[in-house]
Amino acid sequence: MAEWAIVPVLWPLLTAIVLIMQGGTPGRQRTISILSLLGLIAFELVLAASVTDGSILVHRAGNWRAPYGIVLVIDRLAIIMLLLAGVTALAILSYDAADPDPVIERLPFFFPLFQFLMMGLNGAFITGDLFNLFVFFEVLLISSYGLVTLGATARQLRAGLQFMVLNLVNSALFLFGVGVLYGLTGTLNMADLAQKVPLLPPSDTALMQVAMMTLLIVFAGKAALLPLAFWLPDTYPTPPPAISAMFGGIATKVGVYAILRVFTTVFADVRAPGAEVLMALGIVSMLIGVLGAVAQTELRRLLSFHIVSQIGYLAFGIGLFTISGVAGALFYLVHYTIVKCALFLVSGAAERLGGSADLKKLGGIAHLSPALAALFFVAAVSLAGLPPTSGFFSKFLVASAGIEAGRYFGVTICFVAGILTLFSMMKIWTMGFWGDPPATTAPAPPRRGVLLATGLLVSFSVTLAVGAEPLYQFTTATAAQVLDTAGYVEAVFAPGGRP
Amino acid sequence: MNSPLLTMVARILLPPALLFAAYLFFRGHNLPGGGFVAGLMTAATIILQYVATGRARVYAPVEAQRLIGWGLALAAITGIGALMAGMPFLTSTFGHIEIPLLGHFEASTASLFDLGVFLVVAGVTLTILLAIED
Repeated sequence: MAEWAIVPVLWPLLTAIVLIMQGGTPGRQRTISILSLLGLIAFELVLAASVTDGSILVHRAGNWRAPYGIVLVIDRLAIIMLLLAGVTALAILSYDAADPDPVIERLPFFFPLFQFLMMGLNGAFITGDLFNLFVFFEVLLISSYGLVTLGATARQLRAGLQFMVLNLVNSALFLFGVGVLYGLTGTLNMADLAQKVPLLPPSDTALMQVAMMTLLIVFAGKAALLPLAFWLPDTYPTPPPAISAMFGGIATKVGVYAILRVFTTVFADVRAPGAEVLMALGIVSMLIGVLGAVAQTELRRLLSFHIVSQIGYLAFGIGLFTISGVAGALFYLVHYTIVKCALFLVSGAAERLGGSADLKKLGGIAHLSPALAALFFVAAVSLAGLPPTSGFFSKFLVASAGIEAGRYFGVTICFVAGILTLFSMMKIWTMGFWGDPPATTAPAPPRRGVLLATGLLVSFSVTLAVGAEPLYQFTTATAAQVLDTAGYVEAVFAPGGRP
Repeated sequence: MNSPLLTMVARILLPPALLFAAYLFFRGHNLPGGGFVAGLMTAATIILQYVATGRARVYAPVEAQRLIGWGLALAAITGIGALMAGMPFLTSTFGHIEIPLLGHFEASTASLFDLGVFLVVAGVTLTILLAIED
């Protein structure tokens, strides 16, 4: 199987090439995109079947042996991320197919950009080389710049400029961190770094710590942890809902993934100070993010503040670096990606239905479309973490891992933030979904396909609640594999390839 | 722009500039150069023609945007060729060819990839500059 491990990167690239070459109507571009995604997900399921037993697929690009060439590594963690990206992308494209957004209809190069975004995501998830990670971050970012400003309204350009400047600074810092590491060890392969970083002489330790903190800041900025999160609530609500959902659902998780990957390989033996900082950032984000959300009255902006808060939970769980902590965080990640994406899509449909993005002007969505309201209700309750939803299990797992590790303060904040999340979801519910619809709207209930696409995600989240046990077992196995640095190194350096 | 001087210079410069781009491209296999700079050089040459003579008088057999697609396709297919041959992605191979009058050459599949890079860079640069010119 290892020779096909490159396919998750190549597939979106080839699709993008086909889309660029054939041009054509948005309808045709959409059909090709959806068919290609279905193929990709099917292929990823085949890949998943061969890594669930704990084996690691290693693809040596150009057939060069590990520290010299670039390796692509697919383990359980990578396959979770790949499948999540595939499923959210599929739901988003189906949503857009059912109710084409006027901006996307007018600018059909959305579709190739979307494929490049997928390519950057998938590449970042499977690469085993630090510089290659940087390259895939850039692929992801360059397509994001295009997507964030798709439609080019004044508000989008303002947010887009901010997003771009911040990410350029971030990329420069990333390069700086990678450069320092390369200067110290002479290698960029993550497995090779994992072996060389612990052997650095004491005189180089300070510089290595600088590189570690720099990379932590870069990834925290990408993942939108406070205090590096202020760009997010400005940027994410401005593009069409489908694009917001893609960013809010999966694109932010790349930062979380990168933190987890780099701190369990490159800095595995020296991560203690970084882990403390990560947890502190997580706790602050959890609380401040949700407080920010409570104060908002614009639907998707409110949800964007929640991203900051939810990422805090992930950072807290991962920062523990125990099997139960990472396993809980991964469970949380799966649940939250699905639910967040569903909420963005529902709110997109609600904005379309109510004719406004402002909660003060919305109202009575539950009258206009009971089905949409039901979907929102399930997703919102799940995000807030009430039993018996998947959100309850995720928060429970992260909190219990925190108690296990004796982090009582963080756990307390988890609960406080959970209650505030519930409060802000109730605010959306009472202001947007209850009450009488405003007289000015001409309601056209959302198309069946919109409900179907969001329903798919919501039912997935319900399935997670029912099937929490098998998923938790899988994330526990994943956490054990991720924390086993020696196993990763061994897989990457297995014999094979040109010297 | 209507300047006889610029038109003249652009016309004279066209062949040597393109030749220089080709030189950069072939040199790039083992020395500094390659598809990226050759693409920039070519795009710059063509832009100079546009500026000097106006768009209507430059013969453009393909749209610049199409070049991006072709270039990406060529680069990707070079890599996939290796996959099809049972080798990992982008594994390169090479052989030696004899061209009459010019002598001995080393031909490798990496050059095909580089040609893809050349097309993408030329296409992107032309697209951006022409958009700005409009």
